[in-house]
Amino acid sequence: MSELRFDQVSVRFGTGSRAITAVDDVDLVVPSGQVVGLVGESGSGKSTLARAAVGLVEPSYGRILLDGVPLDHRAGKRRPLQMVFQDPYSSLDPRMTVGDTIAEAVPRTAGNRADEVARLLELVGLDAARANAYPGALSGGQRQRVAIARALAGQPDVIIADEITSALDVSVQGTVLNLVRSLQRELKLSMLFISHNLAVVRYVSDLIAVMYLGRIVEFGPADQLLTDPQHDYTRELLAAAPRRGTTSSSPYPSQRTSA
Amino acid sequence: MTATASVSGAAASFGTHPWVRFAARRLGRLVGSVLVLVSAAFLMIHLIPGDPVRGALGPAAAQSVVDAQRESLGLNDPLWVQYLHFLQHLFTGNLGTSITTGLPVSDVIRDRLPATLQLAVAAFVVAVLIALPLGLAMGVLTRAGRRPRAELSFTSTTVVLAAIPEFLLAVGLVYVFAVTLHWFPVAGRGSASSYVLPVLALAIGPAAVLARICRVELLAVLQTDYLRTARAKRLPAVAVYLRHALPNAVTATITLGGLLLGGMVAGTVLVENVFSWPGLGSTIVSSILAKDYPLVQGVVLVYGAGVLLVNLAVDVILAVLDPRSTIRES
Repeated sequence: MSELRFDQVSVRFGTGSRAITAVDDVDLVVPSGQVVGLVGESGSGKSTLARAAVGLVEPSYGRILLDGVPLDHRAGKRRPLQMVFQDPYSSLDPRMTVGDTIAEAVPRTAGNRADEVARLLELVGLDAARANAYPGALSGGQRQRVAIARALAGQPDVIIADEITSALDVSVQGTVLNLVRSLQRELKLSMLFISHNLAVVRYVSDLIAVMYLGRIVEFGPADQLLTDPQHDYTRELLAAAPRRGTTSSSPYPSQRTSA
Repeated sequence: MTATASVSGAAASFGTHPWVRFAARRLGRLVGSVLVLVSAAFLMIHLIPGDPVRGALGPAAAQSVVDAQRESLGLNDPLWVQYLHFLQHLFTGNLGTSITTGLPVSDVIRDRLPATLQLAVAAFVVAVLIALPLGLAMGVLTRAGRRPRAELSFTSTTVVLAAIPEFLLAVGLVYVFAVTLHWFPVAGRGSASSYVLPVLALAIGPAAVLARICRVELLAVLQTDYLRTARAKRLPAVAVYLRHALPNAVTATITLGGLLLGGMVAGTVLVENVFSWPGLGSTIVSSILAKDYPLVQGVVLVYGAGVLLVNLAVDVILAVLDPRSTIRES
């Protein structure tokens, strides 16, 4: 049981006439054990919403609840939410071995840390001997597996994956996505999966939310939303996704005006 | 596993191992620098107009005596012959004798070097001990644009301190702390308190530069994604700073600290003259004025060798701390 709920969350940056509302009154539920895909173009507020969930930015309004309880971001507490970051080339400390990086995130109550690190590495499909390697010796896909193991080490209830495949080769994207999907099923994790790529979101998600200019414009079961989109922007996204070189005469400007 | 591989393949890959290439490259550069240094030490003083023998014997000496002395010192030979003699003596470990005092140059250096070394090393240690904690603390306090007024006063104070030449700083320190307050001796080398002002005069400028660099390096590291990852693990702040930020922030600080030490060696020349410090710095000034060729050459060689050794040490330390720097270069 671990349901993540955004309750009328708004995030504003700046003050006065130059203020930007990055996230505008978002209600969103990630049901327990399900994957919610969050799609939208660059600047639509997807990452800001994720950062608010893990406490990297403070919501200007609204609450973020885990199983009905507001999240506590104070240091030292267990982090029931863990985030996998976008760029595996920069998210790992270059001066720390992969094993140490993962071990740091293992809670003290988890018993033997080395065993736990080995278990986590094998869980994400890496050789346990890799614990002694530095990130520089690993490929992008391997690094992202380490980043996933790092997130899992905190024994989270909910994983937030923020564009985790966008920095990887297309060939590696597939294997990482397969890993994420099988881990999610195996561990019964709730997951908020953020991407600008509709094909990627379609592959892993049970539910899909479409974000546009800071608002959730459509939310529903993946199949239904993809076959019968209700909102014009969702149709626009679907029409744009599979084809290349589409010239856009979109009525939806990506430029955000100050609100 | 890598160790056994490199041992078994050592014979075949001797020339390609990164550390071997690093050592070869670095030694080659050192040899080149030494050649330039030796030639420059010789040419610099010989190209300055004036006659060392006339200077040593005084204006009243007879021209015939001066000519005889010049002949015996070999100063009438063509410059390249003198240069070859200089090299020949150098390789046999003979730095010659001082024209003005008649003492062997190596004896003068042996007498004077310890005082200069003490000054430079003490100043370096003090500069690092001030700069690292100060820079890191300011970096932590002013991260992500916090405390803009503290940042402004830190940057403006350090830029002023770094801009004051050390001899001016030395005169100012003497005036305030020795002449006015009588806390420390005005000049000379004796008790421990006589070290305070010269060391401070040398250390303050480099410490200010180093603290600024240290702060900026830390700020850059604090913005990296892997620091965000470290925070995402809910590590205590001390662990985030000491385990993740510090090791990544000190590389550039060490490089520049080493270069500052090289500059400090040069700074001793000026500071020693302000404080009448009995080191190589006061020796070189008086010997240049007297055109004492062998002595100037010997002391310049010692100073140059000091700078080269410091740079070599910095390169080796960096290569050990950050192996990427050796690979990147090749």
